[in-house]
Amino acid sequence: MAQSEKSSHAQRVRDQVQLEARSRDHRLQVGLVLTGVLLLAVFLWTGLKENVYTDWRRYQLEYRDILEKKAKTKLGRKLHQDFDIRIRQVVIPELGVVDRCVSCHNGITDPRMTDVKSPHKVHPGPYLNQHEVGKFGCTICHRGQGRALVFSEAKAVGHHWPHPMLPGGLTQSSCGLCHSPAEVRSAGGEKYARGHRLFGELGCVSCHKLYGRGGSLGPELTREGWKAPQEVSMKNVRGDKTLARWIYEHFQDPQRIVPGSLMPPPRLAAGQLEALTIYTLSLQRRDLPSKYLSPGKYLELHRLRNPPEMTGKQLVARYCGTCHDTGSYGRYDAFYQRFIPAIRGPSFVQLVTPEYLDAAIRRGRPGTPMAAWAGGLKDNELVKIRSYLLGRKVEPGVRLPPKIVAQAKDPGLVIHGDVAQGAAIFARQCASCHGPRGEGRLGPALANRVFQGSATDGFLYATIAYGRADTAMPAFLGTHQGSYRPSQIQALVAFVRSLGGGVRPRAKVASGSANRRTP
Amino acid sequence: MSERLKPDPVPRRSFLSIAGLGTLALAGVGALAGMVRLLKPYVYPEPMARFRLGRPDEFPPGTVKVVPERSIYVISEPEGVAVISLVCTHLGCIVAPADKGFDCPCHGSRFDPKGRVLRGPAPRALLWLEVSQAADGSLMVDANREVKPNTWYRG
Repeated sequence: MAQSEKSSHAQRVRDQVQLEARSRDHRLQVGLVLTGVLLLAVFLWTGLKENVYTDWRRYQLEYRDILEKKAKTKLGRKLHQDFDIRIRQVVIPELGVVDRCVSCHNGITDPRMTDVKSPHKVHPGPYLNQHEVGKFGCTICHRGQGRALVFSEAKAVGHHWPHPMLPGGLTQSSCGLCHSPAEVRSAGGEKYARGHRLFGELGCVSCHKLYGRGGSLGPELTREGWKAPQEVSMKNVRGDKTLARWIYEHFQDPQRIVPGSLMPPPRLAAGQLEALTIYTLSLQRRDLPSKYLSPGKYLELHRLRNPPEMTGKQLVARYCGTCHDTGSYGRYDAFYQRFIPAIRGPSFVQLVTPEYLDAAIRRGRPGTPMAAWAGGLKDNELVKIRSYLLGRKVEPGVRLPPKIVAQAKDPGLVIHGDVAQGAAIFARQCASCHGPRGEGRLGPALANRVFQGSATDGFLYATIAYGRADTAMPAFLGTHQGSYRPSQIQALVAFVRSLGGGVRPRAKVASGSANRRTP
Repeated sequence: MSERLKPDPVPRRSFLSIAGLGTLALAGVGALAGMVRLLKPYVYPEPMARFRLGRPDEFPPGTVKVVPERSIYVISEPEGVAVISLVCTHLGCIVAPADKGFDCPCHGSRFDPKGRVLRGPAPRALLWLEVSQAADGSLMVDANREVKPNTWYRG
């Protein structure tokens, strides 16, 4: 050997190469063994975890011991003897319920299970007496992913499941699936009933629709409580990314959760926030089988879809009052940072034509919080609102000259004036509230198409000249310092008209022929 | 140095190869077994066969009641409660309780009040189902568990 070492350098190099190749081979083989062992271990571990050492099996073994300890009576012994270890579930096809919660919560219907720890405890409260588990399941009230066999997956928070489990305090929102608020007010649904009352008091329907009825400024709320987490933006939610949390934080500060939201913050105390969240969560539109609905719920749903007749006064209070209050005075709204017109103000009702009000109600004021009401209420209801507003009695002190009133109601009347002079006065006197281009600031927008299309020249003249009693709009006609002559007011009318880009009310067709059909 | 180039007396490397391939093969078999296991679920989302009948005091002796949504016939007598399935043993129609026993509307089978066959084509008597009691005392019926005719449950 020593001889060959000396004899050939090439041989040594060959040996070296071979050695290296073998040791590489060796490393590969060790790696192979390690990989194999690792894989085996992983499969063994997952196999055992999935099939043998499962949570539900462990809980059922625990529960069987509890049953044995509590087996004092003949029935108790029978229950222990019959208790087999298997996946238990409640399946109710008509509710879409497949709930395996009962695989771990084995004692929910056993009144003896009061002194044991979760998940073996009996279900609290009397709820299961009226809601048999076999007929309702668990997720119908608690939500969550019923098919899961592991608690974190059943809770389904942050798992991209559509309806994660509700936190305990919010479960009563589910009462609303089958019960009206009045029915459960004193039977575990206090907060749900309170939320329902708040929903009415806060005037939510002024901006939101419920079953197609209500305002159009905000989104319809008919199934707000059944949205999946993916249907809303969770970006600014601080707590769990769940719908319940989104609704709660949104009521705290709408603009933080939805930047640019037009919703005034409701300013609620903690208890009210929770109640309103619960009520909102109850809005689900699930269309459950009718045999599950209570008589009260039946009636409630029927009334939502076929609302009872309301008077004009009731309609105004319910749908307009949230912003306009009684409508008889103008007020400044701090949230929208503008004056809200007095829709029943004494000056307004004297000057306004039914057509003007009709346009304002049906088409709203585009670009302002006053949204269109056509479609949100029935046709005859809009007429009732109009008649109620126009029906206001005007006290003698604020009556306008009859000639002025007559002019305001004549769409054919055209008032001419010096537009340049009008522009100058407008910039001085009007622009601070109505905006330099009449776009509206604190005061109403004058360049608005709907306004221009329904306000007559006479209406503009009367409003500028005599102002609006009980609002921030002053009268400009007069002889004292800071007031204007009729010709100057005519110039203002001409300028305001010029802001409309040619839109103006159409002259009346001969009376009576407007709605007549030609044969 | 040359000593190290000699083949090992024990074929260590081939042992390693065999062990490595062996464990991999075992792991493969494990994976395959897992996949085959997936084909047979532990449970199917089927409606439960065991359901609640009601409180025992809803069935005092002398009660006879049909529960149509479950297709069962409940009889309560002094010796206990029994539940007879209304599914005809011929082709699965729902038999109707008649004056004396049950009539099948499909093929005219007739049964006596205890479910015994009076007239064909039904091959055998109506099924008596197992009655038991839940922890809260409710009577439970298991539609998948047949008991011998004339088995009465007493709490």
